[in-house]
Amino acid sequence: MHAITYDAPRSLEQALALLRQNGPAARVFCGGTDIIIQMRAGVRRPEHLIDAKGIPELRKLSFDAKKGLCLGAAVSCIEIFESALMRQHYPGLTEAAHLIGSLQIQARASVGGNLCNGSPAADSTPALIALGAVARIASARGERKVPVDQFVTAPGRTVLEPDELLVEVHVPAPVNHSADAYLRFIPRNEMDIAVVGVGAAVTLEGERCVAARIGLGAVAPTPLLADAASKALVGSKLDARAIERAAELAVSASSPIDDMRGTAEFRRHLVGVLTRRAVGLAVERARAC
Amino acid sequence: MSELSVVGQRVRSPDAYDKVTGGKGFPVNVRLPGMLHGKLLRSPYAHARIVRIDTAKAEKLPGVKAVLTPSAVPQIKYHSVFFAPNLDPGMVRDMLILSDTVRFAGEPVAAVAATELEIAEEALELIDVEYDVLPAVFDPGEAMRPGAPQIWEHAPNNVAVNLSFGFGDVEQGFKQADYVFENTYQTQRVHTCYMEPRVCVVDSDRQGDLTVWSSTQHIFGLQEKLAFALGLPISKVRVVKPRYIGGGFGGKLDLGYIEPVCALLSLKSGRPVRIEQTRYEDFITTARHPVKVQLRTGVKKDGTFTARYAKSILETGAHATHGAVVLPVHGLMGFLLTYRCPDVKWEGCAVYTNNMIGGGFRGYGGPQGAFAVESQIDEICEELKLDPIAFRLKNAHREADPHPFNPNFTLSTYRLDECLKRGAQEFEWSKRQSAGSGSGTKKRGIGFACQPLWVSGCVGFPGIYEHSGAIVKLNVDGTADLSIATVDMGCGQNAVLSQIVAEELGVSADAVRIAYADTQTVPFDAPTHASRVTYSAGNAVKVAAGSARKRLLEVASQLFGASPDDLEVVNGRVRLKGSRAKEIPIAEVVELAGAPALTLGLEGNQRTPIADKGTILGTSSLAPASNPSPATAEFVEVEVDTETGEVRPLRALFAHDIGRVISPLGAEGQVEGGFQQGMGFALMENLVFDSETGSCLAGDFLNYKIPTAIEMPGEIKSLFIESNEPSGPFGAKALAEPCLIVPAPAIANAIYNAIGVRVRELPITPEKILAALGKL
Repeated sequence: MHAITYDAPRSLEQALALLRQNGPAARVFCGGTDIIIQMRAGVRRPEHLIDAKGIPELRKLSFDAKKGLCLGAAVSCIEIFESALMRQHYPGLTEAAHLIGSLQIQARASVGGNLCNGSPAADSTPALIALGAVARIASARGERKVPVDQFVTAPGRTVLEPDELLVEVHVPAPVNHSADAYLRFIPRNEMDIAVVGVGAAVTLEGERCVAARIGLGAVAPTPLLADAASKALVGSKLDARAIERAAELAVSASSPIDDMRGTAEFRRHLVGVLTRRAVGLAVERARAC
Repeated sequence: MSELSVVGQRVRSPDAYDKVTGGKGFPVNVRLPGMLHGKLLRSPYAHARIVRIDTAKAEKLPGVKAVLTPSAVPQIKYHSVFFAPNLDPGMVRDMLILSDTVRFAGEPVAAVAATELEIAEEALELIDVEYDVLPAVFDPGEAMRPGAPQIWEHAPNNVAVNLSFGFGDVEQGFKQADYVFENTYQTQRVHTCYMEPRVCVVDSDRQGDLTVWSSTQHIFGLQEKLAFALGLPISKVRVVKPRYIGGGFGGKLDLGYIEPVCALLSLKSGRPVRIEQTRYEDFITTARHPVKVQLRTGVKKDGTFTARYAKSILETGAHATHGAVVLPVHGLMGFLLTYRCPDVKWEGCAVYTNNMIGGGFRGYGGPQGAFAVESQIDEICEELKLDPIAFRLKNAHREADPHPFNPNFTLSTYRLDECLKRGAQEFEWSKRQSAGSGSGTKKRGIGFACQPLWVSGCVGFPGIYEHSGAIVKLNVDGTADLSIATVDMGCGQNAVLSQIVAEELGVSADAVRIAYADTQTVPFDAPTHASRVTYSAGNAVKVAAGSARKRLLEVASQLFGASPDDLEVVNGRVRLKGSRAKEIPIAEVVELAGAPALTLGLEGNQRTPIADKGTILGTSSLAPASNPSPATAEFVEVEVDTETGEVRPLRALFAHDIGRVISPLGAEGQVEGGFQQGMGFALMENLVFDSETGSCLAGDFLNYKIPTAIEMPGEIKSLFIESNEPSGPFGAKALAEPCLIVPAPAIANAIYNAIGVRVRELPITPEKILAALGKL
């Protein structure tokens, strides 16, 4: 047994002051769906827990057709997928939020928490990467912005310094004929950790693809942007051959390991299948809007 | 069949309200004043000798009240299995409460009791154990090889039990075959995943008498095994019957480490002690034994069996326990006797490894057998272009045949043929396409499997407890109390037994109350296992209720001035047969029978009309008369994603002959639950261990995959082909196990039908499917 200090700051300033004082021993959390399990298993042993749910800036979900989406780090998954705006403009990210855990978990878990937990298999991270999301980070020293594809640095580790806090992620506004999709593979249909997750976003001009991003989860030490695969789509008509080429490049970009959930070979195979399907779904959606 | 008023009705479970409002009757909710919390220190090594244990620091920790080490516990070797007597020669006694040699990672080496759970946990960290680590072996094949680490002195080559059964001349039979098929099938280790953990509270008094509350499937087995392990007469151990437990499925059919440890901690501290296992501990406590089955089958061109041979290698883990019984049950009922064949032979062995101990699990060797037998029949039919249903019917036993399990009995009711025909018709089996013929990435397939015969208990085999007993007592408010040792483990035993009593007495189901009971107050009953309760305990409660009813009518006859034979009970009222002229409620008869001889009143003393005073009750204690068997067929449709390897069962239909259905809601629940467990076994469940260290890698519900509600097919239909089994209570037979035995081969056969490739190793994961399709 060890004693833990718990704080629930009501403002960003308070939170940043607490982090400045206690940063290395502290852990910020929202719903606690990861940290409580990690503490029980002895994986993390923070002395100080800082509950971010009471900080107004972190609870904001706002969308502007020009500025895009500002998603507060503590917005729950339920708030995301119950938002008609989210479903309309970011169906892939919404799907990812809908896939995390059970309904009870979704009521507590947040996309920001999912990102800060730093798991290579986080469901919402490849979806954010596909959308080109940028993390806004604050500390008592000031603010900085980091693209989500560079946010996680190793399993369980992120770019956050001990005194820093993720405030929100910013997702660019969707343009005409653009859409995203997220698919994952798990051994059963619900309540599981991804064996492979693939997020895809495409923008069309006529029949031609003018922008594309593919994010991969659970196939490398961190969620990653499949850069070459994304670029292979740009300029193409998104026909089967172009998508197949992107899928092959996505497979090359992945470096999965063997574990209980699947062998590396199986995961590489699935990266190909899911990339084809996620890109296909995003294209279908982009053509429809 | 006479008209029945309660049997066959969809009645509410008598404990439904209690369960959904907190389940006070679950043993996990037992708390006693002054109760201590115990914890087991478990070995991190799979095979080691304990050189030294230092508990001094733990004992000094404030709040710690008792510490146990191997040297402080009785060293009486026991077998832990409830349904067989302690000294049964077929059992292997290789268990100790705490031993100075550990044989699997997680075997307990010490225990503590403290005022708080957290203190007990902290105390474990203060116990210093020096181990001499020994070489370990985790694969049964390797364990049998010369030079492998020897786990037990009494078991050369690590073979715990070696058995062989057969009849006819199998080699001669193969000579008569037109074709001989040889295939090997492998099943994996799976857990029953009962919801309520294994938990117990043991209290002791100053005379050293023990009272035990435990989440167990058998109070008398627990009493007997616990007393034996502790070296006490059974009169020193009283086990309280749980009102119900949160699942067992065979996983609570043996003495755990926790009960004897709690008993000793309680005797040492003088206080009640509770241990609740964590989910991780539960996962390494009990599991279905992995079995490798090699089949060699000879058939004529028309599909008639000429010879069947099987060899089964069952991995029993670090101790023999259930493995010694699962092995012959698997061999006999899971293979040898399932179909008619003149020349049959089975050989099998149970092999020790340094893995966790295998345990009881619904089906008890059947699922491993059926996966092999029913998969291979489909393979044979595919090869010889025979209809799988006709093939099975050709080789199946028939009604009125001598019972293959016991020649003293006959298959008095046996409707496998109707199960197959009606099931096939309702499922539209005739629309099945040839294997792998679908187009597109997602392919559908239809499969089928049956379990021609199955009861793993009440078979009349020697060495296994079979009898049941009950007391039915009528109350002055017209209700009846049923006292019986049978534990309801979630299958609705309380409902079924209440319905049988109610039918026999002539009252409504909710007029029957299941009494609080313990090993001192009720007659012996064999465990809740082996699909036996409805049939065996059902017969016992029917006899007890019949005897109470007889007494009721004798008493009532004095009120009617008629012979008891001329009376009947309808809707809780006694009347002359067929007459509504005069009806006396049971309550009134019971009250008059129990009232004082004289009633004092204003009008003077009145003599009550019944001279013969006493409580109206009936008792019974009897062994089952016969050995009927249910017959089971299951049809399933799956969809296979040929790119990801995912399998989704889309619909399932079970056709059962279980005699008369006593409780339709309970029966349907059994079938649906059986499908879910069978589907997990078929597709995803696997209790994986590290092949280097032997530690469990799937000890939680994230890493151990069971199907959730979402994986269940949209449609599961239960078709009951009702027969009237003459030896069963109101014509009933058994149900519980076959509905879990058939899904794995039915799903495997459906997958084959969808994609045209065969997987012979469970679970059939997406990876195995992709590998079979040549995509990995």
